[in-house]
Amino acid sequence: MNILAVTACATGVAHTFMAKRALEDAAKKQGHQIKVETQGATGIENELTQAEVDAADILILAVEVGIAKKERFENVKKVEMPIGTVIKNADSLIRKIEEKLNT
Amino acid sequence: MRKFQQALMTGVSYMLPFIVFAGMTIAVTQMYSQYIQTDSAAVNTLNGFAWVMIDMIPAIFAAYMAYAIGDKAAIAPGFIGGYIAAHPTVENTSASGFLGAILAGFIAGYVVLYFRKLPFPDFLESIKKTLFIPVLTGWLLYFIMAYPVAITVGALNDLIIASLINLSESPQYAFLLGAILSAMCAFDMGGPLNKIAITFVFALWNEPSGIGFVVNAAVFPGIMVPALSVGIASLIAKSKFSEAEIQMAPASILSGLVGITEAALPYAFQNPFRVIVPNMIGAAIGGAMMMAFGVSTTGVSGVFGLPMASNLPIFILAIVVGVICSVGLQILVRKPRNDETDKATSEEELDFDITM
Repeated sequence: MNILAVTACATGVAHTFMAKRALEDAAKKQGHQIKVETQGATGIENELTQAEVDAADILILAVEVGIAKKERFENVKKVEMPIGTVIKNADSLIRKIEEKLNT
Repeated sequence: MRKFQQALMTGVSYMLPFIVFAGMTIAVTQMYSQYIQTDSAAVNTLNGFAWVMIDMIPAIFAAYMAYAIGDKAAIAPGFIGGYIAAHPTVENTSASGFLGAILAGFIAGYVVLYFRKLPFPDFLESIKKTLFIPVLTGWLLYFIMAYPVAITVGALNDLIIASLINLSESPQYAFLLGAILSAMCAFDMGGPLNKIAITFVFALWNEPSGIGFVVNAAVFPGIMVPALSVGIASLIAKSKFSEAEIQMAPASILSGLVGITEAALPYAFQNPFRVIVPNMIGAAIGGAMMMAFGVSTTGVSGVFGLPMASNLPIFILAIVVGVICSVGLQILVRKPRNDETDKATSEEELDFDITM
């Protein structure tokens, strides 16, 4: 799968980046492509382009706060999850997404 | 409900850097004036500017709360409404404070969301975005905040502040006020209740009796205990806290020291009762001690209150006792972490829909 994700938490220093790492590790382990954009305390890093969004199979929104530049994501399949759940269950989350997309 | 919570957190998240800037600036400039040079015009002006920023905070909070709900177009009306919450425009109405700012952010967000969905003829679509939405929602927010909200919520806010002042003036109950204010700060860690307590403190700063600086000292345990305690507790009882929590501990302790209560939020989200209740008890004990001994300080934000404290040993003792109580209780009420069951149950509960 071609996975994209946006992570954002309230203070933007800890959970945002822990979720990014958890998702990247889980995706790599299961052999998927992934790019994770973080919207932390200093703003957007590793920004997802419109072309990348259009080519994605799924967008994971691990967000606890409102995010910037939402208009990019209007026409993509997406899953919204509390950031704490994503950090804890990145592995099974990606597995379940694959299951759901295949049925 | 989740949307509302997300909006609140967004407001807090964008407001934080302003509070850190203003709080730190006030503390540093006051220390400078007290210990180094009393009449530096540049430092005094900087101090004055920091207070202007404190005044802007409800507007910034409401603007970004609205942004989380209604996106970019909601920032302006949110700001307008939040500004009026702090600065009433109509005679004989009162500032509605943070309660008003929350309302402003909420209303601005949903009004803009509604406007954006309204069908307009194609040729009017661009005018709708550039003209109708900013002007109409701005007017709407102005009138809602300036009249009904300023009258009702303003009166409620006044009532809350008046009853707190009343309480602080009767010595036999003063310790109770210290406990309540500190517990309020610790309850939502930078949230609305915390801000009501802090606003109450700031509202008293220009009281000639000096009571403002006494209640100011009383909220320090409420500000410092939560972030300090979750950090210290997770380092002491590693088996009862998650890896993420232990990893965040040093940052949390540092935040607690400089008075950024919000650092305790991630811990509280994972385990609300086992974090918030011990923090409130610890903070209440510390706050009661401060008030019982009548300690005062003109500093704000964490350790920056220390140099200005009227009774330094008691000031430190009150915070240390508060932290010890909270840490002890947190460790006591927590169950050992169990990774296996954690993962197993959450896999079952991991339920979601894929939307377009």
